Amino acid sequence: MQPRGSVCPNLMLGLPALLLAVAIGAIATTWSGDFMSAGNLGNLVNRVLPLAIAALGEAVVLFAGRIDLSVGSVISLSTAILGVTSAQLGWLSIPLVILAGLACGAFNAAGVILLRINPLIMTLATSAVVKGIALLLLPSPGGEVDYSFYDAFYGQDQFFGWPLLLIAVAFAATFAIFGFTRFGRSIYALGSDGRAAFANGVNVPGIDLSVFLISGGLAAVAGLAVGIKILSGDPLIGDSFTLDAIAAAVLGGVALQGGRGSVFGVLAGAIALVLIGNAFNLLELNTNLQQIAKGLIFVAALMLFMRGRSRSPA
Amino acid sequence: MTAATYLDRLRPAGASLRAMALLLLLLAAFFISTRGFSSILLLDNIRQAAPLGVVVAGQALVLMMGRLDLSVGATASMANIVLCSIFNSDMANLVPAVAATLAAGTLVGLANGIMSTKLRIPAFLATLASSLIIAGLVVFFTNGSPRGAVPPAFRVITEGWLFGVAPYSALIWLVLLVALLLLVHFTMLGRKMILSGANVVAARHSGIPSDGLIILSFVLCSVLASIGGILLSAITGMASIGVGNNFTLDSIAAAVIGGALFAGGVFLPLGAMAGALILFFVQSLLYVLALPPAAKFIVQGLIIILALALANLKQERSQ
Repeated sequence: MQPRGSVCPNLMLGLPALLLAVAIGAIATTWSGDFMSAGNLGNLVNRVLPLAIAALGEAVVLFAGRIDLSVGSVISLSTAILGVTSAQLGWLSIPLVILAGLACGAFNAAGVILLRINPLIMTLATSAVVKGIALLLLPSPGGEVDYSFYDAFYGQDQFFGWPLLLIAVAFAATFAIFGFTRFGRSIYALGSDGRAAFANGVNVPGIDLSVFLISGGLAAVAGLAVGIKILSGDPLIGDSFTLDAIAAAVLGGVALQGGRGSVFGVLAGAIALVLIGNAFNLLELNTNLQQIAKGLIFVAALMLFMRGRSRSPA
Repeated sequence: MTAATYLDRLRPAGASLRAMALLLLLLAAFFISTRGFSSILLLDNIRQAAPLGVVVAGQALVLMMGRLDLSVGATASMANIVLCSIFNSDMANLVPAVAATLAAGTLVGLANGIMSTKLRIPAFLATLASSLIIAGLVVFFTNGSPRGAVPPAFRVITEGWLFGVAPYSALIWLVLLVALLLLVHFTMLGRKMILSGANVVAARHSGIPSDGLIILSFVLCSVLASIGGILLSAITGMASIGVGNNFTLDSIAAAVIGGALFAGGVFLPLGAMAGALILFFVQSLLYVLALPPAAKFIVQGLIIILALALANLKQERSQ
C-alpha cells in the first residue's frame, strides 16, 4: 500500500485528466486555427476560473471524506448579492459576498458537527435554503454589477491576466497546504480513515469546520467571478456548478471516499471539462445535447475511477 | 409463522406514530383557523397531496436500501411530457400513453440501479447525473416547447370522487402504499430487501442477491415517480417542462419527516404518508400566508435539517 497523503502518488492521480486536457487541446488545435489564438486562450482562462475555484473548494471537502452539494447554490447567492448591492456598496460588496459564502460553509459545518447530520444530506438541505435566500434577494435574473469590476478584473482580455493569476495563487497555496503542512495532512488522514485520525489526535470537528468554510469561501469567490463576468445577478446560474465541480474533482483523480487526490489533478479536471464544452461549441452541438453529453461523461468518469475502490456509501 | 407475528408487523413504528401526531396537530391548527372541521376539505387536500405522496413512497423504498434517488423530480417531469404528448387530448390513446410513461420510468430506474450497483457509482451522484440527462433529453425532444394535453376524461383520476365520498387519487395512493407495505413486510422478497438495506454485508453473507434487490428498489421508485407524474398531469392537464422538479427535495423532506433513515433498513408506509401530508399542509400554509415562492425552498431545507437533527437526538438519548 502506498503512503497516503504523500505528494508524488497523489500527483500521479491527476495524470489522466491532464492527458485528457492535452489531447482535447491538441485535437481542437488541429481542427480550428482559432483555438490557440490569444483571444480564445484568454476566453478559456475566464471560463476555467469559476469552475476551477469551485472544484478546488469541493476537492478540499472530498479530501476529508465529506461532500458539499451546496456549491452551486452558494455561487447563485453570490451573484445575487453582487447584483443587488454592488451599485450602492461598490467594492465593499466583494467582502460581503465572501462573508456570505463563509456563513453558508459555517451553516453546513454546524449541521455536520453539532447536529451530526450526514454531510451529503446536510449540504443538500443547505443548498435548498441558500437557493431560497438567493431567490428572495433577486426573484429573477437582473440587478447590476459595476462595470469597473469587469474592467479591472477581465479588462486585459488575454491569457496572462488577473484570472490566470488568481487560479495560480489559489492552487499553489492549496497545494502547499496539502503537501507540506500538518493541517493538510490531517485532512487527508481524516479522509483516509476517520477513526485512526481521531485516535491519533486529529481535531475532527476543527477539520470539518475548516473544510466547509474553505468550500463556502471558494464557492463565493467562484460566484464573484461569474457575477462580474455576466455583469448581473442570477439566482439559478450556479445550479449546474455542483455537479461540474464534483465531476472536475473526480476526473482529476480525487476519491469520493476521501484521502486521495491532488489539487493539480482537480485543475486538470476543470480544464478538461471546460475544453470539452469548448469543443462542443466549436462543433456547434445543440446546448441540450451538451447537457446530456456532460451527464454521460460524468457517469463515465465515475465508472472509470470508482473501479476497484472500496464500496462507496450512499 | 404464527398469526401473532404477522399482526406484530402491522403495528406502526414509533417514528410513524410521531409523524401522525404531528400531522394531527397541524390539522387541528388548520381546522381551528378555518373555523370548524370539514371532511370534504380534508379529503380535498389529501387528493391534491396524492402525487407527492406516491413519489415519497418510492423515495422511502430507495432510502430503505440505504440509497438516495435525486432523479425522482426529473422522472416525474418526464412522465408528464411523455404522457401528454402521446395522449394528445384523445382518450383513445389511454393505453399507449400510460404504458409508454411507465416504461420510460422503468428504464430510468434500471439505469439508476445498474449505475449504483454494477458500476459502483454512489447512488446520489448517479441519480444526479441521470436527472441532468433526463432533463436534457426532455428539452431536446420537445425543443423547449412541449405540446399535448391529457383528455378531460382522464382527469377524473384526480378530479373524480368514488361514490362522491373518496377521491380516486387518494384511493390510488392508499392502494399503492398498502401494496408496498405487503411487499416489504409480508413477502420473502421484501424481507430480503429490508435486510440488505439494513446491513448489506450481512445480507451478502446470507446469500441474498442484494445488487438485484437494489436495482428493483430503484425501478419501483422510478415507476412510482412516473405514477406521481401521471397524477400531477391529471391535475395540471397539460405538458410543461419541469413540472415535477420540486418532487426531488420534497420527497426527501417528507420521507425524513416520516421516519426514514439515510442509513437504510427502515420502511414506514404510514410515516411516508404522514410526511407527505405534513409537507403538503406546510406548503399550503406558505401559500395562504402569501409568502414568496422562494420561502418554499428555505422551508424545505430547514424541515430536512430539523427532522434529521431530532432523529439523531433521539438516537443518542436511547443509547
